[in-house]
Amino acid sequence: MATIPIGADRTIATRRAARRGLRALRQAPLIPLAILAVLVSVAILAPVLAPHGRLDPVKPTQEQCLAKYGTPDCPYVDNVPPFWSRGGRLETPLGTDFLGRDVLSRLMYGARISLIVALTGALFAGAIGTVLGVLAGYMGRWWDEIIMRITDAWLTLPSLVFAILLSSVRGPGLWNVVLILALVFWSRYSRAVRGEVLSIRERDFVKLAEISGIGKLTIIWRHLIPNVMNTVVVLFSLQVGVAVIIEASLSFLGVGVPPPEPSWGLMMAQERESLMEGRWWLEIFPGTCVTLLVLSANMLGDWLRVRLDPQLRNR
Amino acid sequence: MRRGLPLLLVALTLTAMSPDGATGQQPPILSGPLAKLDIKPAQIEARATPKGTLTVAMHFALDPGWLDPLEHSYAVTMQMYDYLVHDAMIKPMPHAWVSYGLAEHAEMAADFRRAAFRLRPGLKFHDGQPLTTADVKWTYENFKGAYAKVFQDKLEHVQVIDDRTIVFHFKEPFIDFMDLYNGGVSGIGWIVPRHYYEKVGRDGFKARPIGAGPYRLVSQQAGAQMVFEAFDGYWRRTPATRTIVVKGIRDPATRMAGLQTGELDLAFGMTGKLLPRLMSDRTLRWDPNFTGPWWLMFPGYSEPGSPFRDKRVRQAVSLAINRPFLVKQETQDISKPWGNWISPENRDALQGQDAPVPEYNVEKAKQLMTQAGFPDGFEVEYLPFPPYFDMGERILTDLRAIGIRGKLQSLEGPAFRAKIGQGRKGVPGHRTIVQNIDPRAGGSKSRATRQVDPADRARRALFRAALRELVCPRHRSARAAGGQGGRQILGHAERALSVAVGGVGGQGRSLRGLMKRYVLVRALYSVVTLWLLVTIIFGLVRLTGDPVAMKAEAGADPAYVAQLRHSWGLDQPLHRQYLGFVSRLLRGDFGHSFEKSLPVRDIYFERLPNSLKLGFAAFLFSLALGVPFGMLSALKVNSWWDSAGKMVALLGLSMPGFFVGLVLIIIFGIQLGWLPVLGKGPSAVVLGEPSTWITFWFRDWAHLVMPAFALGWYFSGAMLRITRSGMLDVLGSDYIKLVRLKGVPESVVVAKHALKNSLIPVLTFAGLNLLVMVNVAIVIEVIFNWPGVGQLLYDALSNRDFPMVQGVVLMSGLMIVLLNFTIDVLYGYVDPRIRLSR
Repeated sequence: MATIPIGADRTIATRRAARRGLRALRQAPLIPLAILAVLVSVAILAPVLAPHGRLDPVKPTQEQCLAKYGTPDCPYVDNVPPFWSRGGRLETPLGTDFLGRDVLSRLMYGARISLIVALTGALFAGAIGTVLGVLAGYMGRWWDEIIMRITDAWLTLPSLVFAILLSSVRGPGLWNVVLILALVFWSRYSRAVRGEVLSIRERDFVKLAEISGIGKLTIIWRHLIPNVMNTVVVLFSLQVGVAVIIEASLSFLGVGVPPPEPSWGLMMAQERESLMEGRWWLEIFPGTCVTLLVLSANMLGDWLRVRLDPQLRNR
Repeated sequence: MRRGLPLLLVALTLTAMSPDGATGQQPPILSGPLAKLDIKPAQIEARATPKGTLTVAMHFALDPGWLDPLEHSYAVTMQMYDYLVHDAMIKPMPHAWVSYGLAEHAEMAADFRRAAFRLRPGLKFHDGQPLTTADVKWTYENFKGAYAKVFQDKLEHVQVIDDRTIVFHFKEPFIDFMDLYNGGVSGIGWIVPRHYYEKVGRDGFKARPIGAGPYRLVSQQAGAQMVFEAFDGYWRRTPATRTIVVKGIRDPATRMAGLQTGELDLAFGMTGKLLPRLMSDRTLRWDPNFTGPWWLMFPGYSEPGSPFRDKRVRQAVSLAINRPFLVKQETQDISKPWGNWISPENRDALQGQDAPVPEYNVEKAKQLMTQAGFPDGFEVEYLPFPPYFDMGERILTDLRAIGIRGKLQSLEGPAFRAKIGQGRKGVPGHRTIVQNIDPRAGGSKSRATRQVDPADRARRALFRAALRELVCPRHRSARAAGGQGGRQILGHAERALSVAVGGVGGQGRSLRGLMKRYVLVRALYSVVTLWLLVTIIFGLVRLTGDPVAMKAEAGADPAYVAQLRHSWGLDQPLHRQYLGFVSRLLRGDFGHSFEKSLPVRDIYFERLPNSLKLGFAAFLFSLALGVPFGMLSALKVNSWWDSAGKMVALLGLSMPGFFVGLVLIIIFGIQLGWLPVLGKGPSAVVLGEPSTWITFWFRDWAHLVMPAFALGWYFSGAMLRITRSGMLDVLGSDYIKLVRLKGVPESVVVAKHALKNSLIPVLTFAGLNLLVMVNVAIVIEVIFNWPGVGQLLYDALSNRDFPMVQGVVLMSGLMIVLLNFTIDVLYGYVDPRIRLSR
């Protein structure tokens, strides 16, 4: 019988855990994660990274003014193409928009707004939906009936109806869009969470907790909510993508984040005529950003769904 | 030809007469001294054959109400349509502000108490019936639009002398009668055929009006399109163009695309960014039209809290705006910087004085701001004139230089008017509007205590008991089993059926009884859901403000506002409105559209086939892309197929619909010119012609390709996911393992055993998707100008057309609830466990 040095089992366990972690990391969708990391850091560091302001036109040089308007002095030069095209400048690498504002800077600040709107919108919706879903599933009886009937009715309402009605009540604004997203999406969470809770509440640990006289609120907080978090996280990651798209569509219809603040959806919506004019860069750059964000969020969501659902893990 | 000749002769003789002034040779109607009238003779032109088609795009939704002169209001009267379909007694023409129309002679007594008209001989409505003074009298008496009260109050009686001569007698001198009766001012002078109006009724007339104008309305789709055909019996001349098609296209990019592909001949409102391209395109011609000056409005500026109350701030705003540069950027120097809100075209009002362009001086502006106590500026919400939002943003950029940080509010026209109206509470006309916006007004006061009938109480108790019996016994709904256990249920479908046949007489209840009870409960749920939906939508819509404030222009006559309010039922207390709303809904009456002046139901069902066509096409496309790729990626997990399929589907999910739509329009519509970009094409479902009910679905597929692709791509991602996970679930189930163990070839396993069961959740989900595509494909329908339900909803929402919004949302809700009910019942049949859980 060989002697096992004290602590060896722990090192083995640690090593195993490390190996497991490494494997998980290797399977993780690195590209979407990297894209998201870049977008988030750009959003946070926008004031440092952005070469120009997000709202004010870039001061033009005398040559630019002369070339465009024939006078040495002008407030701004609009629609400068990206630096690799003819007439482009390195000072404004991705060109300028119809007000002579730097597209790159607006994209960077736009990342902030798009991320804030999508994340907080999906988060609030998740919070409302989870609480209502847990209540419906666990409290049962009339709670269930009332909450689920409202959920059913709510699910049939088109999101744009909310958006336009709300923006006319509250006026336009960033937080208005967040509120709209929260109000639109909660019903999707509550439906899923309730289904989950219905099966969890029949499990032994919940029954035992009930028998030992623990209060309902404590059971909900300690036992139910942690157990439905997987579902919520997966839904959340998928809803973030949908939220970005909805935000863009709201801007297209004129009820999204109000100008002149730059959100990607708004930039696309505002420059849709420019696309017809052949100024593709004004549409393609924000479009690419939106697509990258939604694509990454969706891929991450798919991966999470597989990771967090033991039935799906090995597929 | 045989009919044309006499008409031609009449026209020639009239032409010969007209240069001398037809009035001069007319025998007098009235006795006594006459007032002098300045009405120019009509210019009668030679007749010719009309030819060609003119397609026009307006930059807003079309209102059938424009075609009914009897209800012309101040704000939203589009006289272009009067001139097409109808004709007025006297009206403005290009050569004169007042010119003879249907009347060839008019007189006004010198005491202004009598006015007389003589009609031209041989006037006819589009249906061939003669236009007589009886129609003139009837139109006067039944007119309900702007100034109606003035006209009715002053009138003593109408004297019809013969078929062509009519005299109006007034109670008191009506000095401005001829000015108000002019077709350019009110709708009362545009003559409506009495026999036809009384036959078809108010709505029927708006849907299919006839008049005596140069064009007949051939067909219209409320809000989207009107088609006019030349009327060769028109007295003044034959119209030059055979067919005029008017479309309501709100998105400027779509109008531009239509011009470039040649689908449009004329488009209004081509502003801002589109101008340089328009002006440089040699195939297009542009024409600046007089639309009035631009000025800044800050609603509520006179109230104590507003920074604009300080005159120095307003001066600073003026100094900060670089007008010449603004004009260059926004209108390519077509327009002219000007220092007065009265434009240079109206020089009379300026009494010949020019208004110099105000100074542009940011330094001075900053100083003024500091003096006014705002050295760091302030924040403001700014509403530009719709749809000139780019212009608004340019102005905001100028104002940022002096520290005024603005947020642009881009609401649509009516909302804009309402906001402006609310902001000026000092104007008496507005106070009435603003006070009534409060939904509680009247509601709290007029609530009377109500006696409850004992029998009624007993009935209610019974009802409550029945409800409890139905709903309460076991509160866990079947939906739970359907929701979380859906996969198992479907996987066990075959077994369940055999069990069902064998019979499970659990708890002494017959299977049939259980099923009946289950269906009843589900039906009750559906009803409750619908009722909740009705209540939610009623409440939401009422929260957003007063539609009257949006329809009536600022400064409108309070009597007119009160009349509008009454006719829309908005003067009743809220609970009355609600009860009336629900009871009308139960009778299938969704009310009248505020904006489109027709019953909501008619408009909705007119649009529905278009949306169904688009929805089905997109649906088929999403199935064709989603299902095969989903199955492939499930069969070959983590293979190349899996990733490729996922990428295609996820890309569709990751791009906003308008982006995909625009790129498609530019590539296939404008660059390659392969596909039309506007609307659904000429085919339509016509109720009277059953053949169109079928041919409609198979015609104009070129119009369908791009919108269906853009819409379907988004949904194909979801279809792929559902198919993939459904297939994986089935492939991992025990019965498939068993089949495989038996040595059945893999292809048979998939095709025979796995496919059927894995498709059930796909189809369930697909049904819901189809309903979403049909009812709320808003962005796609707007960008492709598809005249469907989504576009209708968008128009209704941005114009606060409450009944229309309610109608569309409730119809789509009804469809979804019915679908869910059907699915639940089918599940119940298939799986006995669901029934037993009740």
